[in-house]
Amino acid sequence: MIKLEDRISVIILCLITFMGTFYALMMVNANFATAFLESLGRPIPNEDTLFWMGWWGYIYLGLGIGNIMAILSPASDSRVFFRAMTMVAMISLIRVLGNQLAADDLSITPTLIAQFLVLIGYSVVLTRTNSRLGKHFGWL
Amino acid sequence: MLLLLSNRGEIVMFKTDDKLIQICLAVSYAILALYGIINYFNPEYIINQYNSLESNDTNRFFLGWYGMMNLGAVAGLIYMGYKGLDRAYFAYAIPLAALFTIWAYMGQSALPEDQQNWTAMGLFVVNLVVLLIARIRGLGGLDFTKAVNMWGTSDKLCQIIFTIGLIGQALFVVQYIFAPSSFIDQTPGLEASDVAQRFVMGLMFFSLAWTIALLYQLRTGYSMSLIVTSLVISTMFMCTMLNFYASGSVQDGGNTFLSINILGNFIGSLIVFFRLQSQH
Repeated sequence: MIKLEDRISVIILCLITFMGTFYALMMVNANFATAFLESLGRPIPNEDTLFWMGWWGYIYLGLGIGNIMAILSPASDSRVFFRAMTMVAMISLIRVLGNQLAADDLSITPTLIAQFLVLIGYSVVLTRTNSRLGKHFGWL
Repeated sequence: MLLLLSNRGEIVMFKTDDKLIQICLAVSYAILALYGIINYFNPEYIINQYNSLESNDTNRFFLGWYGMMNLGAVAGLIYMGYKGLDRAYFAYAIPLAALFTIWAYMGQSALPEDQQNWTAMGLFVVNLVVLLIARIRGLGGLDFTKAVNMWGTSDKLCQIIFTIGLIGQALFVVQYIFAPSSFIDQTPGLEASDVAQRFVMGLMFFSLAWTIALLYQLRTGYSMSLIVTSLVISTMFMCTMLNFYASGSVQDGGNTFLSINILGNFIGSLIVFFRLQSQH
């Protein structure tokens, strides 16, 4: 049933999917989302904030389903997905770092660690499945 | 989605050319997905549709529970869509659809006429009928051919996990019969009411359907469709439970027995899935 050839990549994608599902369900549920923001020291979210958090939650769920599809397919069918997800993970990490720098509060938070681990995870998957763009593209 | 794929001709959905079966299961898919998504992601909509439902955490808790069970059944249907019809899935889904038809009738008929809403009951009946049509047309008569090994696998660990699952589900049914209100009593934060009690009866029906399906698999062999169903349900339960703890919504330590069950289901489903998936 699992067609992705590399076992380590399967484990990494499963972990990322579980973490993504956890965050997705947190964001789509108003009570969970409010508690999450309070734990970050943010003000209680209004209806608009909850709407956009829920929106992100659904995107997380969709990406989680994408991960599952990638696990159930050979790596050759998922190369573009792995590249795109690595890019998304990198941009997300830069955004978290940027937000902290802008607030002049650079500290190691669970969100920062999570984003970092996701980027490392996708990078490992990218390399182990021979999906790095350099493997398939003549730069010169 | 199921119909579109079959019409393109790339994949014969449910590994059958019988359009009626495909349509019936697509209808079941739509009903289950509809209730799964609404119950879990927007319980307020359901609460607004039923005068008998108050907007409180207890009702939202149970609606979320039902939603996750429906989404798991959707995953099982999708799996069958690619791998072909599976007797064990119907051994779970048909009793469940029948039990929930009875459940909906009992719930609505007990209400005053001005509070009754028969929409869900109607959809449950449709779901039951389409499942019966698909089962009878696609797989013929009942078949209880004994598998070579208990649970259809020689993997001892999987056999133990399946057996624990069967005992756990059966125990929940027995517990409900002797003490129907015990689940609410044991779960801090849940308010006892007639509606909550009816929801607990629904939980017992889920366990009863799983017990029937597990007994069937004990004799005829395990079903990958139901393992996928269980994996999706248990993952959603696990993530939801962690969110309850992370958000501080769990009162007085919560229901320890329920937490252990959710954790056990999750780990058990993962082990069974990864140990048996290579054969499918």
